[in-house]
Amino acid sequence: MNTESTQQTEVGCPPGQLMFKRKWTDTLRVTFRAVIKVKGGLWGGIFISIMLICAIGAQWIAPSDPNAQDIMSRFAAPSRDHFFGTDYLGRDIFSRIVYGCRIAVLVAFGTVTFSSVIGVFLGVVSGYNEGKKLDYFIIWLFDIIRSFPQIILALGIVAVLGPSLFNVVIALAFTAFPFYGRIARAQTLSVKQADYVKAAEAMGLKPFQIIMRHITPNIMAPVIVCLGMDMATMIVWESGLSFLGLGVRPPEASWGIMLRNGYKYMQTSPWMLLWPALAISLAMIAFSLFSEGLRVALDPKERER
Amino acid sequence: MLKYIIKRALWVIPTLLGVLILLFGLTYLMPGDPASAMLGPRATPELVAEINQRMHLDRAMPVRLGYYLAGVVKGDLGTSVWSGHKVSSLLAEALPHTALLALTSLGIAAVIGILLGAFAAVRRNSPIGGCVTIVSLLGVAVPDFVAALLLMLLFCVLVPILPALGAGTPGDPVDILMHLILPATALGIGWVGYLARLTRESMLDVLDSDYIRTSRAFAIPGKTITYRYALKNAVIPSITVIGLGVGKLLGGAVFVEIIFSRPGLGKLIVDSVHARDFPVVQGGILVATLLFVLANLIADISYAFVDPRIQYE
Amino acid sequence: MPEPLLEINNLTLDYNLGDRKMRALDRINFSLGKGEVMGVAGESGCGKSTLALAILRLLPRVAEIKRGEVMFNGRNLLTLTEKEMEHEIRGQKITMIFQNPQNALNPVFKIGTQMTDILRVQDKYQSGGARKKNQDFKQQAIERLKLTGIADPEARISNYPFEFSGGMKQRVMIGMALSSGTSLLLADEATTALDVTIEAQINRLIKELAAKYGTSVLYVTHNLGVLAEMADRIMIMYAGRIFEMGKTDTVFAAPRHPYSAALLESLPSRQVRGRRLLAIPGFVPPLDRLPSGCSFHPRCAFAKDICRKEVPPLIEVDEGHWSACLLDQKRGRKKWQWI
Repeated sequence: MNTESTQQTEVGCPPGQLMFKRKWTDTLRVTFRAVIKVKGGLWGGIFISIMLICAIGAQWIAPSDPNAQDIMSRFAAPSRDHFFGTDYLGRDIFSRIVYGCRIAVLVAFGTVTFSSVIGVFLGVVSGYNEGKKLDYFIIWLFDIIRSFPQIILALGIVAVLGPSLFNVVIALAFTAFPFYGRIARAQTLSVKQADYVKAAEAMGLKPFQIIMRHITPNIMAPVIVCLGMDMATMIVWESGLSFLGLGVRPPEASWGIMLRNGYKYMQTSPWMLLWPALAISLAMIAFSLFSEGLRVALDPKERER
Repeated sequence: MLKYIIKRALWVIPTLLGVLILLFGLTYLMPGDPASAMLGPRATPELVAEINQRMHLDRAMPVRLGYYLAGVVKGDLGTSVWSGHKVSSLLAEALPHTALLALTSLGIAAVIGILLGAFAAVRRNSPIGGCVTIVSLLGVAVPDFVAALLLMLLFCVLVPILPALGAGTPGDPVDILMHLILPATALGIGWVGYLARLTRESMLDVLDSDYIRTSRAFAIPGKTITYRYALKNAVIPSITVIGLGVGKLLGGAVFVEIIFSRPGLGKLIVDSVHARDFPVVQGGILVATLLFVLANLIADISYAFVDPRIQYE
Repeated sequence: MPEPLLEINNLTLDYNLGDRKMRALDRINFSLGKGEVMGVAGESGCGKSTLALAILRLLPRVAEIKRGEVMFNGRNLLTLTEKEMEHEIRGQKITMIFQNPQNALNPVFKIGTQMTDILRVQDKYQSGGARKKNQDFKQQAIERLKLTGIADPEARISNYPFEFSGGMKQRVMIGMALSSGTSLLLADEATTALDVTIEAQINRLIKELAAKYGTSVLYVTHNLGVLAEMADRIMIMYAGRIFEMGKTDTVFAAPRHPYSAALLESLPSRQVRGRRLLAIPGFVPPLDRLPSGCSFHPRCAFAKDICRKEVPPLIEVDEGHWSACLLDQKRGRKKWQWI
């Protein structure tokens, strides 16, 4: 652990190169180990792992079909048969929460992948061409999208595209990519000044090669930290859109849809509202703890403390 | 300073132009013929033709864009497909409710958050520090619309002491206030925690800084140091965050207004989305965006007043 | 020796960092005469700055004074109330200028505002708040700036600190710190962060103004070369203890402690060319893991068995010349030859 960190901070040596020469799984392992060493990072990791397990193995974990209706036991309070109770159609809430993990994880990873790939690419290109027309155009593009209140723009896009899981991912990713772009651009501006980039330029490498091999790997740390926090936000917004009836279509088990139903039957069966609310809160805490851990783990200054 | 402000303000123009183009372009994303999409099952050939003509949907794209931009500049945002009212008058009706909600929650959150954070930093080992941690954790863990639902469950269903729905009788300040408490709390609680944590951290940094030590070495009284010297440095990060936060606040207002059934901007947008009343959706998003851009402009300018270094950066 | 202004007796101070306890100052004894300039030298982390901060009681929270007294004009500063310190001592009788002028001034207030705030506080404590106008304080601030040699002070007073260079900021600090009422100036590495040419100017300014007002100076630095010109007497510190103290000329000419000798040996000099400079092996030990006996013994080329066992006391080896080395007496006056 120690040797890696000293290697990476050595002056004049491109840290990204080292990361690439090493197997990427090693890098992942080292980072992960550093994260769970941070107080809270471990708990975040555990929660996220549980979510992932639920998402992948929902059909084995959930005691019953999330969409199986049982008219005889509608609005059942939590009991031994139904840990979390049942909803207005007699569906088992625990099973629906477990299946809800699947949508939450899908949305979180889907949007963040789309938006970070596009955002980082545009940001690096813009930063590399600092001061040129292309740079101004990309900044302009970022600024336009950043001018909208994020969720309201997403709402507008879903409104025209029509509500569906895929459209929600597209809409959320579209509103989020400029934020990655700004980070990537700012990082590129500072990395560009580094000796190893100058050396690569002097050796006659093409801009594309420089961007891909020397700049991008070295600007990822803050982007990755942002990823963690963004996933939490995306889970919330998916729930929000679904809550408004503009996200995932019922009868899919999304936490947002469950909240919507809970809102309707709040007076008689509050557990319909409480369980999905709890699930969202736990997901939020998990991702923010984990991303806080990432921030500390990836920040050399913090690591030395 | 003036140069910075002018430069910052001028940059708004191309951005807003882009915003308008994007909003205009959204109509092209609609699957199929926009007029039938908007009318849905209501569509009859006559209605479709009327909509097409009214919204210039039958014209070429640049011409339509021209009409749209000219309309916006004149303050004409079109008419509602559904009710036939002018979009601008619908927005004018809805806006005060949202503005009241957003300003109340932001104002209260900023004052409480910053003071709580400063206090927690000055009294390092008091229970206030723990409070800040708990409130900020709550703010992270409970997103505004979940908070709204839980508050409603708590104070309208389980312990029914506050009104649940609507914005109160117009002209009755007490009733309006009662209807404001829950939505404003739901919207503001995350900000209290966030700003408190931010202020505490920057305040701790500032209190340990060399220039505060200088003030102490020259016997400046402790209260002056804390609330005149240190606080001005410590609120700098909060100002940017508040500016950017207005976007989140307006977004959060959408959910809160739906949940508490407040006839504001957010509810208007969502209702119009459900009714496929696209001109209203477009106008609503435009107004929300204008508010956000304005808030950021104000934040950046006040930043320049608080932190003199900004001009050269 | 002039009449003493400041007498420090047996001052011992700990830093409590969680479970670690560090002795940052260990039985410090010295006195400083009126109008005298005392240089304090040593490597980083040997307690020089702590000493200066302890006199003004501006120590960080973790510091705890175990025993000793700081007698200033016959009063023990350690037993004064915080209010008495603020009203009579800090910023009036004793002032301090700090290491990094870049951060010493508040970045979001104008220079003039910060200066008039300080002047107003001083005025309030001195004359019990006889009402003066803001304009008077502003005029006073301009005069202070003029004294420190800042060009066009009338205009400069409405600048922000980031519009000043490091040297100019330090001039502002000196202008605030040195006035007719100041009896003692604590200069904590005041010129370390500055260019060499600026450093010389600032040091000259400190010396001039101190002489003008009859102010004593405790000049803390890690640069022995500067002290040769600045100080009447010098004090060499190591790991929280005084190792040697005496007249500047005497210590430079014939150091009695091997550590002082080594420090002098590591100074480049114009007279001797072509000789290798000494680099003292090892580093200052962390204060919570001090070696037994003489804390310098692991790095000392002359260390004997006895150095590992006994803590050397600070004794007067010559008139006005103090040293803390067990081997000194046996070596007599023979100079320490490191190379």
